[in-house]
Amino acid sequence: MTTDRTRGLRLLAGALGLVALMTLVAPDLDVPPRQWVDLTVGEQGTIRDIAVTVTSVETSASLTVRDTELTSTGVFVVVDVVADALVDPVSFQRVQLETRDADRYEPRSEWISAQPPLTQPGFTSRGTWIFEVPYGGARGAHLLVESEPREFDGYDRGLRVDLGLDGSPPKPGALEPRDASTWVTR
Amino acid sequence: MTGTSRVAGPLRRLPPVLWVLAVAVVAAGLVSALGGFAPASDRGRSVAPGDQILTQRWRLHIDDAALVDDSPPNADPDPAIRVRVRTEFTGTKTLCCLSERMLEVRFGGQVVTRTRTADEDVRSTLGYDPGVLVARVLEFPLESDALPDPLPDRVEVIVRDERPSRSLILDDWRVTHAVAGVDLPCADDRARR
Repeated sequence: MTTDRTRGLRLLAGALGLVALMTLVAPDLDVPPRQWVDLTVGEQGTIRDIAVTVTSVETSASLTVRDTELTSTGVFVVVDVVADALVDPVSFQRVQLETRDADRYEPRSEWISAQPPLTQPGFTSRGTWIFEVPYGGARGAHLLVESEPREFDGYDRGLRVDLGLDGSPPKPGALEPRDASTWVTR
Repeated sequence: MTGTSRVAGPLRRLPPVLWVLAVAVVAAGLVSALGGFAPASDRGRSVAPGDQILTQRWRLHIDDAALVDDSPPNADPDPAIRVRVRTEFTGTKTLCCLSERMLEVRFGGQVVTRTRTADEDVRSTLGYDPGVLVARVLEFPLESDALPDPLPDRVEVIVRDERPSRSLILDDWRVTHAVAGVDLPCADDRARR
């Protein structure tokens, strides 16, 4: 009886130890593994749900929001895109800018009306994602676009667009982002 | 080995009471160095308005504060402490929000940790980007029927640190002890609205 209990306790301790070890060594699942399709500005890339083209990229020290000029202590990166929804509705939830230091930035929500909206299959949206990065952080940055999140998320492809930014000083004056628009895919 | 024995020999002959005294002196020194037996401060070190406060993943500046009320005329009062801060997130990925309870306002007996968007701020309260210093306006709503009379002319903003909290399901950050307290003048700006 004692031997059975001892064996059971050892098994339990072993299982708990294994769980602790897996917790320590498991990768960060916030960032699912991706196989990246590398693109440049003007090239169209296709992943599961969408075909995306970055049409232009600008940097600016200030932008207007609600008729107010907002100046950054860093730099705004303004990325214009055109995206076709192919199979399912697309809400562009997984869009980030990655710097050379591998820091990741999400689009600023102050300009949410400029961002590509929820787009149904068969439609195309034009919009602008605006990122704010530290001064000097824009040089060599990439735009990352991933498929829509699903119940089980794992290995998948993503689009990685070289924004072609060389660290030139940002454009003077305040840019005014346009609202997004949607039309039937031609 | 021989040298050690030579040193240890005379020490070994010391009376036990001296050993006890020596251990007590060392322990008292350690306790003193760690802050003594006084209760731990619940406000952290005092920091002047505008000075940098460094935590595990933030650089913060608490710049100024005022009592405001944005409620429309004839509506119920909706007082709040408006705090102007500058934030810089030192992590590596844009963070959605400030941790609840990381900032705490103490005003006339009320302790407020909940924040809301200030109407005047064009900045979103969502999205804290790595390495970008941003000026923001935060509002801490007060209980309107519990405002002290007379109104205090100062407010205290407490900044708490965070530590990583890792579990099987979710990796997160947990708010911990106070690292800094900023004592600010607090003008009554309600009449100016």
